Amino acid sequence: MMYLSQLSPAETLFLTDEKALLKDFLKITLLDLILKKVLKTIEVTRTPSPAEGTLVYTYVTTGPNFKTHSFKEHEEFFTSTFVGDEEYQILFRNLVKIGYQKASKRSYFTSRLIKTKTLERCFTQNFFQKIFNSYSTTSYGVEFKRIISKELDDLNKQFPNKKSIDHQKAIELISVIGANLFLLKNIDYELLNQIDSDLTTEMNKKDSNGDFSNGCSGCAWVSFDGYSSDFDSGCSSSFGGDGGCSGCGGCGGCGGCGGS
Amino acid sequence: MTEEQKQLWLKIKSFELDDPAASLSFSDRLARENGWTIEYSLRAIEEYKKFIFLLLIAQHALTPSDQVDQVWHLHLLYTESYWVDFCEHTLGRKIHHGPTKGGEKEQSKYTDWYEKTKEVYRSTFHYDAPDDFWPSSENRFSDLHFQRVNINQNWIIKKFFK
Repeated sequence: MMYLSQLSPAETLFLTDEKALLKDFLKITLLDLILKKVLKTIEVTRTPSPAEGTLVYTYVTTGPNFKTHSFKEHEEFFTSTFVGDEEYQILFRNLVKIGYQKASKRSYFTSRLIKTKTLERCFTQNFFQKIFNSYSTTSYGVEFKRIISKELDDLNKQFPNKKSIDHQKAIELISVIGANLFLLKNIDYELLNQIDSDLTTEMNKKDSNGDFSNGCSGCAWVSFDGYSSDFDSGCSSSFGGDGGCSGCGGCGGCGGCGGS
Repeated sequence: MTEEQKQLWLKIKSFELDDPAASLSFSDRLARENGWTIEYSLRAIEEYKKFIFLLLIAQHALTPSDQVDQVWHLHLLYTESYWVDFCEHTLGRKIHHGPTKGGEKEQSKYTDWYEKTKEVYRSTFHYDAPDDFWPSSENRFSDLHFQRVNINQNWIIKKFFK
């Protein structure tokens, strides 16, 4: 695990899985930042109204290592939000959305990855490749990929099923290979699932219509429940512009929203 | 800020507009309707909260920027969140939203209020209101030609010059 311990999990994933999706890179990067205590999560319980009952809000804010961490470019998709306001708290799902919007495409994300100090010898880019966020792998890169893949395979063989990685073993492994642990086939953590779920939701939204979200006028996402789609498709309010007022300059009212 | 004002600001700051269980949250909708990124929308929400706080502590009327006003408009659509959760339970006071009656006199009045808003912002938070949310009065009251456009049926092409 000599080399694996030097790589961020996104770098490892890039070297070992050509089919990895943007959401996989984002997921593992956010998890890595939380594990390194660059960012931290906070849970807040609130009762906004008696009708809604108690809700749990998961926020992300800067962790104790935020100031000292040396940021890699691909980590900044998540961390730049906190630059200038380290006390800022943001809903977990909103930070996931921000990361996804900033990264925008897999090729854009990986073009940041190949510039990291640990991978810069593995890839080259000519003029045109730079324009299109493409790259070529050097012979050093080919060999490095082989070594990293082997290290990961060896670990996977050591832990053939979920039960073989108990909590204690996971902690020991994390101290050596960090969040690369989460690239093992038989690891399953609640946090990883939460990140996965939020990213999947965002990708479904974006892929369905090229729009970040599309609640109005007869759309049909799988993730959109009946109440919301009914509510949205019923909205037909028309907004005028603002004419230099203390607030609204011409709301025409809502033409079909629900109320109570 | 007095201790009482600090407490009030913390209360407003921690008021959450996004429902963690909603598929289309407040900030999603704000971003979609204005063509903003989620990050910009969240910052706009922060500025809206600051504006409401300033409204409560200032001795005179204030006017928001257009960006802040868009957040306010949308929040007003969430009637229960706005009137009950925010005004009644968080602020302890009703905050009404007053459109202009039009004309030069009104224009002058709102320009004056807008300038005062930025002054009270600076004196309260000890930094200038950020330009990307609080533009100059000239831009605030001239860039007003907005319309709702169905982007599934129309292209929007930026003009090379105005």
